[in-house]
Amino acid sequence: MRQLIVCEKTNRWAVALRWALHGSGTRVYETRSWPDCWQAWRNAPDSALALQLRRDNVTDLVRHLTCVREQAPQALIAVLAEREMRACEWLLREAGALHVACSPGDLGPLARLLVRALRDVPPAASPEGLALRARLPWGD
Amino acid sequence: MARTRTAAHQLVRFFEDSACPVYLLDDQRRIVFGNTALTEWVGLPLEQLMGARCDYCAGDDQTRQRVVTSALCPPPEAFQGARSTGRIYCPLPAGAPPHRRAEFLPVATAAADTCGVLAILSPSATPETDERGQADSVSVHALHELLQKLTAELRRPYCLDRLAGSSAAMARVREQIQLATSSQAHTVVLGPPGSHREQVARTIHAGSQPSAAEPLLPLSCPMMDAELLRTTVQAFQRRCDASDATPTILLLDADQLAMEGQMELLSWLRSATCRARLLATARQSLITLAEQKQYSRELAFRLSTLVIELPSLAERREDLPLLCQQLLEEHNARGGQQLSGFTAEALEALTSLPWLGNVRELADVVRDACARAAGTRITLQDLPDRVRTVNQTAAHPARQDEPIVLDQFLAEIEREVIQRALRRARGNKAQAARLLGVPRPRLLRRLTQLGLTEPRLTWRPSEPEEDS
Repeated sequence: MRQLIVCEKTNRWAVALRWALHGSGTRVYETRSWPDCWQAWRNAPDSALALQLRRDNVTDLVRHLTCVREQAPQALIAVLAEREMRACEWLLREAGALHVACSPGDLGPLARLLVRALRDVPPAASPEGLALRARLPWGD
Repeated sequence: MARTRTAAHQLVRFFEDSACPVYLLDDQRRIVFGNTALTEWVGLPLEQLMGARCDYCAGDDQTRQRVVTSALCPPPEAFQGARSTGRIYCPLPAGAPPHRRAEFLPVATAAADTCGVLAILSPSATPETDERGQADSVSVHALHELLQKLTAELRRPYCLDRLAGSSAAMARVREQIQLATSSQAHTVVLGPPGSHREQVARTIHAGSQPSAAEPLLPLSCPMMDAELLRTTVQAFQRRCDASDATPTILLLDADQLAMEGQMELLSWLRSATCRARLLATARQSLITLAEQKQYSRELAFRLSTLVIELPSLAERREDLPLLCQQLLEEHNARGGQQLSGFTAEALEALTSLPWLGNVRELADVVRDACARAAGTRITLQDLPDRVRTVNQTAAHPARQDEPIVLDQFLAEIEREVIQRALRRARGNKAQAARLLGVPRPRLLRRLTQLGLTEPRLTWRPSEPEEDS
């Protein structure tokens, strides 16, 4: 499913991301804590992740990035950082973030990247479609 | 003249007598004075410090001297005339406290231009002891310090010892990695999916001193368009220019970079400003792709100065027990349940698999097995079902594919869809035809042909009404 899981304390970035991704067929799913975000990602590992960077979670975020990339090196992870945290951009990129957005008003590049990354992910199949697919011979 | 010399000498003696490290930087951020306490604290002779430029950056240190000078650098605000305090974190020889409270005093000329910064380091302090008015400055320093520590932590896993394997193929790979590390040439790491191409490329970058490697920018090529590539690389280059570091760009899946992206990268490589080292990972040879006109020939040759080919796991089965043990011990290192190894049965089952997903697949299997293990060793029962299934399947000949009759099969599907449409339209054939996007006469014809005209095969209410 074309889905972006956002992990942030408020819905500030999610609102901006919904706006930026409008019309792309990408669902924005909000979580408020890392355990919830992790669970959501485990349930839908094709999803992209957008994690908020705050002054108090730099260390945790780097470890979360490392953890996700250990499990799925191809995972698409973006970091949503406040401008004051811009100094961390290159560290986070080295840790595996594909993009670091520094303002909710400048999500164009991230939206383009997400659309390109998720274009190969099939849209959610309907139950009828799944049932039909299940009847097709010579599956996996 | 003599009086001036005496006064200067007295000033130097005054600072020399101080137990606190003291140093002075000129407006170019070069150390022009340092006392004995400073040289003792950082563990470097004064000759190595004098004239060295201090850059306010993290993780771009190549030598001990640069580790020290970047740690000693005052915040940029100090060079703009703002007095500030903070903490300095310097990884020191054993025994010395790594933290010092620092006071940065800008030295201004008569024209109010800052001509230098005097730094005085007092014994270690915690952020709580800093003045309230300097809280913001302290938090900025804390972030800087944190970045230095995290960069070192991040690069620690990338060392040659982590590439386990005693096979001839892996011995050759290790030799090539050492060559790439020492040569600084552009390098392509080729290998099948899951063969740890990125790990190898990062190991090359990390070199012999992971914490002291130059800045690294990994780029996922399949997701990069030309514009994003240009802006990201240019921003990275600016950052590296500011700290006088040599950047390394890691092109992940470089064989999947779009042609516009290839052209953009090539024009940047041709430019005079480019002084980056490029490391790339790819599934297939870039030169082969260029010969098939699917890749820029010039870029392929530029990137392929050194080519390291990683073998698939199936080609180095002899390494499997060692790899399994390494992965298991990595699990032990995370804490939790400790395991000693694998039973012979489990290892045999693992060795017989085709391992199309290579080391990554093996890592997943070992992780699952570690989570399931009840005893101190991983047994056959602890291995995931798919491993055991593959082994059982290998023991039995594969069943032949059963043929189908296509027309009959398609008719079955059509019948199912028509029935669903009729149910949705509550038996109304005109509405069902609209739902199916066919004319009504055609639907009626198909209903007859498919034998769906009898009432029991068309729409029925879900709960039939009882006769009164």
